[in-house]
Amino acid sequence: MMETQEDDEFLVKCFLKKGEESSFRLLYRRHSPYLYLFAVRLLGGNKADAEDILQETWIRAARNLSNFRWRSSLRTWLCGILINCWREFTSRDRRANSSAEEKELAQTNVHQTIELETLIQRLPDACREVFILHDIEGYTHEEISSLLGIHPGTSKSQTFEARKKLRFWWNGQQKRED
Amino acid sequence: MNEENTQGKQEEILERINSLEHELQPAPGLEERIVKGLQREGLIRSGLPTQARLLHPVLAAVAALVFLATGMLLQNFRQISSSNSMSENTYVVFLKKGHEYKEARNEKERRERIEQYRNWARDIKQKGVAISGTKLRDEIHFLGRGPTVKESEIVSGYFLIDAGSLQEAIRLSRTCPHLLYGGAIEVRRVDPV
Repeated sequence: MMETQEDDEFLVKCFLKKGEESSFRLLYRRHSPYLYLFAVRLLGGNKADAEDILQETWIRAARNLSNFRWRSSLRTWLCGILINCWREFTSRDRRANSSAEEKELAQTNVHQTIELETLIQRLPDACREVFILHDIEGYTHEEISSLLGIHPGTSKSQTFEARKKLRFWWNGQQKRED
Repeated sequence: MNEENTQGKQEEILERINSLEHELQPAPGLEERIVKGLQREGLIRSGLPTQARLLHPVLAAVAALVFLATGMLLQNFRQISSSNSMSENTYVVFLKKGHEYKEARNEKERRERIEQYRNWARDIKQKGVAISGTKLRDEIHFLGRGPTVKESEIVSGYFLIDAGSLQEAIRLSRTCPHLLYGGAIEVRRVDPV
């Protein structure tokens, strides 16, 4: 089922007008599978943290829906909120420790067969963020620039860097398998 | 050769990227946690139980049908159920149980759902779209030969909507609360021969 903006507008209107639980749940179910996988990828595969991020995203979205002007799609707006939540989450002290653990885990996978998702998880945060938005989710560099508050040129260079690293790791994996 | 190799690797990676999934279902409990959080903040009006359990499918059908009957009594609903007023723009929206319909646990939940269906139909009407619905009794009589209808395919009720196009009828139907409870909807255009 394709989500259309008109459907989202209708549901948001019902939610804002009457605080309708059903409208919120429909919005949640329409967009959460996409947002959740996005969060999982941003967080290097950590599903538990991704759930926390997703929860915070929806709570902030519900608080601020009345200010949303539909200059973008609802999903893009939600992605922007999720990215902000992720950035705050990763800047906290406890995240620094778990990042080190994940990178260590990623390193131990070097000698095993590595799927593409695992390689993506190994990318540095800034690269990974842009790579997911551009190469996986199909946002343009201009849209990414607006979402992340960076220059489109930065988005392009981060994408290039991410692809270069993936190519290098992928090439390395292929050689080990041969 | 190096450039070709690089290009080849890039294409291989891009091919893999294109096959990546774009959706992943979060844990079921997360939705309830979020809804409860929003209820505490007063952003969601409590009116729907945060957990809906499956009861006997017949009870769910009754809940939907009671709503439809109530809908018929609302003022200013233009009746489009008679064949004389059906047009090429009339669409039938069949409400079916589907495979995952969640029944109302008790009378309070059934009343709350009725209110939701009522609000939904009222909103449709306020958009200038004629809508009506009708109740179907539980007893079913099959005539003629043919495959047995599965329980999930049994129609528990239906709406008639005067929409400008099939796309609009589908768009309106997509927001029906029936889907929220795991029900299935079938949209058919009337053929006024």
